[in-house]
Amino acid sequence: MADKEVLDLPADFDQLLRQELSVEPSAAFAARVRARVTGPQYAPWWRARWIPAIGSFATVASIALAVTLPAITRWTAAPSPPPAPAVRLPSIQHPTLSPAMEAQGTAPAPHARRSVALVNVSGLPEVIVDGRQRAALATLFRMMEQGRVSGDSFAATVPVSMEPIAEQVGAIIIAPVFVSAMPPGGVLPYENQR
Amino acid sequence: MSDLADGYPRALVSAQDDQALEFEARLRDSGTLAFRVAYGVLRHREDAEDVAQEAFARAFRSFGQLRDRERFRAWLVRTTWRLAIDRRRGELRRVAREQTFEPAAAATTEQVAAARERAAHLWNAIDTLPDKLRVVIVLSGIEGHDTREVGSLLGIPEGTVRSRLFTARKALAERLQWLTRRS
Repeated sequence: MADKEVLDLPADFDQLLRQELSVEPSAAFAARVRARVTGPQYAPWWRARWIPAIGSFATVASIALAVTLPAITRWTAAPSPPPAPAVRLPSIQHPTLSPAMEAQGTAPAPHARRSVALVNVSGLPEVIVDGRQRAALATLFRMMEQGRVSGDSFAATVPVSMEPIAEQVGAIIIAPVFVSAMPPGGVLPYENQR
Repeated sequence: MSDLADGYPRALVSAQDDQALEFEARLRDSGTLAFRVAYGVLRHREDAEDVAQEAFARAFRSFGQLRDRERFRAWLVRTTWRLAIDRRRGELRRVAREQTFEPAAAATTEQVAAARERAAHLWNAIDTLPDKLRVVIVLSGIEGHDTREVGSLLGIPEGTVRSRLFTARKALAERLQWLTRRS
């Protein structure tokens, strides 16, 4: 074991050291090693039980997040005013009066209809109206179809309302107002008569 | 292979895995060595077995790179030594170990008691050595390892082993001089 020239230590200590280190492990040592290496602690990492557990949890969490996130976003978003019930009338063809109606000014055309196209193919500018305006226009067109409103009478009313009103208003004269003095006691003569 | 398969865990041999059988051979070949290395540090059987088992378990986990016999033994000795040193540093365990190490004088004869006392002084002197000297002393005292085998296990040149062994023995002789004179 040791070289001759380094035997400064007494030989009995060498023998004692060898004797001390000649110990044998217990009979169950090898079995314990086998049990330890086959245990879950030393299994490959992909056999660890926490891997599928974490994978399952991540899958469930992803699905739950995908389902609830849109609802949460809608719930937490600032409320916006409801949109105005606008109705697009892309193309309004004004009812055309029949020649007889134009001559008499009263008879409506039997099949004069307004046509509302969903697609603006006429090239005319589009008008966007709300519900009340749409109802008013519908009433106007229905009255024109029935002859209650003629094109002439309708057109005659428009310029009047558009003319300046200054020419139709005369001079405004404000009469002076006289206020009599209050008598002593604060009672007017006609009040005593009652 | 059938004789090896008897009594072995199914995970090791059921698939007739060559690697598992090689590990089994290493366990038979080097189990005692790992235990004695751990015992040389801890001097406590249960602790030494536990450390040696832990070293084998780590060796099994890295057995793909340790299939060569000499490489396996060297790796096992160094790992066992390191684990035993770490274990020894636990102060509570050390106290318990020293208490169990005290010889029971009433149960032994006078000669045995004297031998135990000398062994205790020897181990105390070994414990005072630096790690690199202590491991050389312990390995040279196990299974009659010569300097070449110790160098192979520690991965150092044989001349370095001789030098460290000389220094270690000289230091031990100085520390045990009073005991030698008394005897």
